[in-house]
Amino acid sequence: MADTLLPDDPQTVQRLDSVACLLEWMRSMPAPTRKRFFGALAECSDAIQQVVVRLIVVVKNPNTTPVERQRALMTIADALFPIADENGEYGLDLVTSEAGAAAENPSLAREVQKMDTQEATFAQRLREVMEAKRISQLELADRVGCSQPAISQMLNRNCRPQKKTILKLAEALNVQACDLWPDIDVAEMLDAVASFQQDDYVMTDAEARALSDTSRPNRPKIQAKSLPTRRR
Amino acid sequence: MTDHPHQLYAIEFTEAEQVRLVGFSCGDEPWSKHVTEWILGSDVLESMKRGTRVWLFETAQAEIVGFGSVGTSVWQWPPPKGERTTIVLIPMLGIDARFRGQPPDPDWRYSRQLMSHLIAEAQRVAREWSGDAEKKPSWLVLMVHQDNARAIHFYEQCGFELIPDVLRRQDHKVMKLWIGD
Repeated sequence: MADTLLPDDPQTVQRLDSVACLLEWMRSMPAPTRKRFFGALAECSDAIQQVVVRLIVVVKNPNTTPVERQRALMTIADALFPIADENGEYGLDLVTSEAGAAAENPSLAREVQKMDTQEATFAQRLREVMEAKRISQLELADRVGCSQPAISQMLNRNCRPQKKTILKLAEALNVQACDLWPDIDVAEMLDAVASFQQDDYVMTDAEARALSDTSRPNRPKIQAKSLPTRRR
Repeated sequence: MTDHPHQLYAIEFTEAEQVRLVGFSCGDEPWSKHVTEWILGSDVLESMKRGTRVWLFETAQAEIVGFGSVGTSVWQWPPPKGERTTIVLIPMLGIDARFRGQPPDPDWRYSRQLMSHLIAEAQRVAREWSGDAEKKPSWLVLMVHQDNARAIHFYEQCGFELIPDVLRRQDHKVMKLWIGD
């Protein structure tokens, strides 16, 4: 959670904002539309992708006029689906998608829910509690004894808080830990995985014994073979 | 030559791939939820910063079946500043609950294809070891929740053995597999 992890050059920040914008928009699409949209986007050259992402920022900008928005959407449709279908329509009705099909489509709502990981829910809830209680990032950082950038990282989902941090945050905000992270066991297990990978872990005697005993090497019982690779 | 219809393909995972994982879920058991959370959240990215390689596994129709990872770590024994041993490890792997036990043909079972790939990549790490020859890793280890009997059984079928008397963080067992010469 070092301060250096925070992007500080405006270009990186802008790029991250654009990607967030793209993700948010894709989540508002019905699932089949999203699949086709993503497929088409993935096939584009980097240059086209950049244009599309820039246009999405225009679409999502609250200050964009309806005419500009319509034009941006048509340009995106043009770029992604250059061949019109038999009805003379481009392959995807982006304007309808943009109208927010999520609200009318329960299966999509469920899908969006699934993409909302506990970490995303946590960031959202933390933000809400902080707003409701009018507590700044700096003040919260002070109360839990961490740096302000660390709080910012959590709010922006750049790092997952450890279980003990969640507990401290809950105490500092005077809410229940499960109000911030409903499945606190999940955080605990993720901590376990993170620690599993930590260098300089000191093995227990039992582990050291098991790993220094090379007299009985248990080899793979299945054929080990790398799978064919694909690139996206 | 056409590939077998159940052939899986490996895709090197990058942050940009995360959007393809909408709806990906390893199941509702507590030990499955954190697997899903790991690949959808920031933990996978943290792990990659430490050199872990991560793959998505997909069918010929580009449906994402699961993911897996291989990394290394340096463990110490005896304390406080004992010998340092490099371990190849599988930080995390998971299969979407919809593809559990699929396909019925055991030779093409997705879980098996996935593990076959991870073991091969772990063996590659050991084989291509460029550091001190004496420190060359010869074990592949993974961690599994003690109540996740199905996973333990599967790992045993692949050749992994439980390390006795070891529990990490109260409820995780560690399993080992020989990948040395």
